[in-house]
Amino acid sequence: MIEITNDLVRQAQAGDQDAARQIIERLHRPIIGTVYRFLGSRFASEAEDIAQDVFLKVFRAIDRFDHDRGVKFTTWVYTFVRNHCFDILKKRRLPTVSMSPIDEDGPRIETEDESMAQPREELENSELGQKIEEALSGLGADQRLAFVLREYEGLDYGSIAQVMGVSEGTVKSRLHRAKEALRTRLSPYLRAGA
Amino acid sequence: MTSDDPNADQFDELNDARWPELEAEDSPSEGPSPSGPPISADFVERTLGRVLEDRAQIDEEAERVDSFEFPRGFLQNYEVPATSPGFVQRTLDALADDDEFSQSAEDRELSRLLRAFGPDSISGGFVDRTLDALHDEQEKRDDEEPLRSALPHYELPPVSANFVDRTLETVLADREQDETEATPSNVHSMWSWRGAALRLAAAVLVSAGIVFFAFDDDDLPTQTPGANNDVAEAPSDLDLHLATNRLGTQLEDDEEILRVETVDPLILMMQQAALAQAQQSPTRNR
Repeated sequence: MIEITNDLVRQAQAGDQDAARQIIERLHRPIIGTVYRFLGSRFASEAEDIAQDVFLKVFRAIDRFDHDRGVKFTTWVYTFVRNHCFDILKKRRLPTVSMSPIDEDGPRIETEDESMAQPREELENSELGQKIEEALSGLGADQRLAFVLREYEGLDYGSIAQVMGVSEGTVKSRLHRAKEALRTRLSPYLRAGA
Repeated sequence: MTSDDPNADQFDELNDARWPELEAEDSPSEGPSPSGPPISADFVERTLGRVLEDRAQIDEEAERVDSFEFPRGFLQNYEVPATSPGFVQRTLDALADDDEFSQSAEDRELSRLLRAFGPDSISGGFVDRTLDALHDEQEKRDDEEPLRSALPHYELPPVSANFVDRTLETVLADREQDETEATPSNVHSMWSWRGAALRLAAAVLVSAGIVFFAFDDDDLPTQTPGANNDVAEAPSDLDLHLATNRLGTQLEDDEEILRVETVDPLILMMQQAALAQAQQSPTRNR
């Protein structure tokens, strides 16, 4: 996870535009990546706009970031990503059902896509990426976000718990369920790739 | 979790699936609740059991979180498209155009100005001096405490039983003496109601005589046929009214402080005096 120093944050809080630029430069890729992977490629054309909205919200509220509360600035920023993405999902009423065989959070759906069974080497990387995205989109929103923050953004369990407002144990449980669901779903490619 | 939450639907379905079971387990003696669906008697115990079971499952799954890892680089096949050039600058421009963010910047500037508007520096030892002053104040209070505690023991002697009556008599006597000693320069005191009544009574007697002899024969009221005409006729109400008005006007001219409410009993006295004088006058033949 990319770290932002407290000094840089304080400079930005004081209105230093150079500091704001540095923060945006360092965080824009992980934020866009999180937005893209959490919401899916159907939001590809909007991912940058969504990330920009997140930055606007972050800098509107940056004065309220309290250095003494023991929360990393990056973790604080990810809470904006989470809230903004969940707002988008609420507004558009996108289904977030899980297809994990062990996921008890909701009904399961079965995908009849035969291409899922094709071995990995027969697929281009982009196609494998598409399969991973499809498997991710089958997770519940909480599991998907936990998985993206952990596996793609490298946040530790404690930071993910702070972002999601749950305990570390709950984060780990969600991650375990997410992994089990994805492993099942992607098993043909995992075997081929192993 | 709100109803709009993406996962809320899952919970809704779980809840919907539970309703028939709950209804089947309902105790008939409980009856329907006026504020909602019937609740089974062991709802709390069953819910607590499920919560604990769920908690245990979460703990178990949490322990196995690292039991499986994806092969290195496997997940990276899911790539994020390259960010378009100029994203950072566009975001900074958007921030500059953002009214809310600009307002925040203005607030920060205002805060700096407000902080600058104040004493340049606090003199050395301010805290110590303040603490010393507080300490001195406390010591002063402590010194006064014995006296303050002793004050309630200084009791007043008992008041004599007839104090109020004696005081009242003294006040009344004093007031009467004031009225008696009123000087001509003290018009208000002289025109207390007793003084006014006496002066008016004297004036009425004089004025009534003037009025009586001022009557012309034509002004006398008509005699009633068959009546004793040897008896002097008493002045009519109109005559008395005219006479008292004349007297009232004179008095008002003399003393403006004569009040209307004090005239009513005086008018009565004047009427009685005029009537008595008319009855005592010699009989007049027409």
